[in-house]
Amino acid sequence: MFNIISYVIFLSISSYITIDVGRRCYHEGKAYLKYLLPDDGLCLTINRILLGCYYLVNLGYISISLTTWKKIISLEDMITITATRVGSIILIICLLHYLNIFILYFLRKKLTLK
Amino acid sequence: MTATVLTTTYNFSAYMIYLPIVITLTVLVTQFLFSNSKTFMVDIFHQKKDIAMATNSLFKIGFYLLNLGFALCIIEFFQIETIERLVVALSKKIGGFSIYLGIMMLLNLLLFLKGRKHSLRKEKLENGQETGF
Repeated sequence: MFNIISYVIFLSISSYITIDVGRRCYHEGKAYLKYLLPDDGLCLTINRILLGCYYLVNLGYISISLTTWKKIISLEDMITITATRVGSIILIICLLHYLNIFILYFLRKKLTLK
Repeated sequence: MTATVLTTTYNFSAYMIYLPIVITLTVLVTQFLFSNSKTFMVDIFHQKKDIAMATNSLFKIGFYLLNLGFALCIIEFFQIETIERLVVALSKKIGGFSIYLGIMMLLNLLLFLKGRKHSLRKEKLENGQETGF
């Protein structure tokens, strides 16, 4: 019983965070791609494909991580396990995000030249 | 033992106190830091406003993710039997988290300062070259 509730909470919170972060990055990424590529239509297409890849990777990982779930017997356990799982998903997204920022940092010269 | 009732331990109330405090603390600190960092960003990106704002919000998203993820990962409390234990455990955890948050904020500020110094030096160099010729 507790397992089902924790699955629902985990799936809703983590997919909400994934989708929200993706939408925000899509919105902010337009400015960068505009510097990188002069063509507007190509820039939008690339941005959309990147967003799709991001969703596939993250939502796929979230659904895979449901398979290794312990048996939950109490309400406290439920909160602990759900929060730890959501936290690790957020940390993974954070790692990907900082990786992206550092890639942008190394591409900075190309970004500011154009 | 299998069906633990809420009143046997104080763990549930500990979680219910810990979560809102941590989330509001993170939100407040992040808003504070990144409303002040806009000036740095404009300096770093040589007055290019759109890309500076984009970088600012990217760093903001990263900061939120890092701190909320860390806060949720360290949530586990041991069995709390008495209310004194509850206060001690909560203050230990929240205090530790706010020290961590302070260090993170300081690191971010140092990063911004370093970037600003670097870009100002480059700007000065370019200006010097232009006037030299």
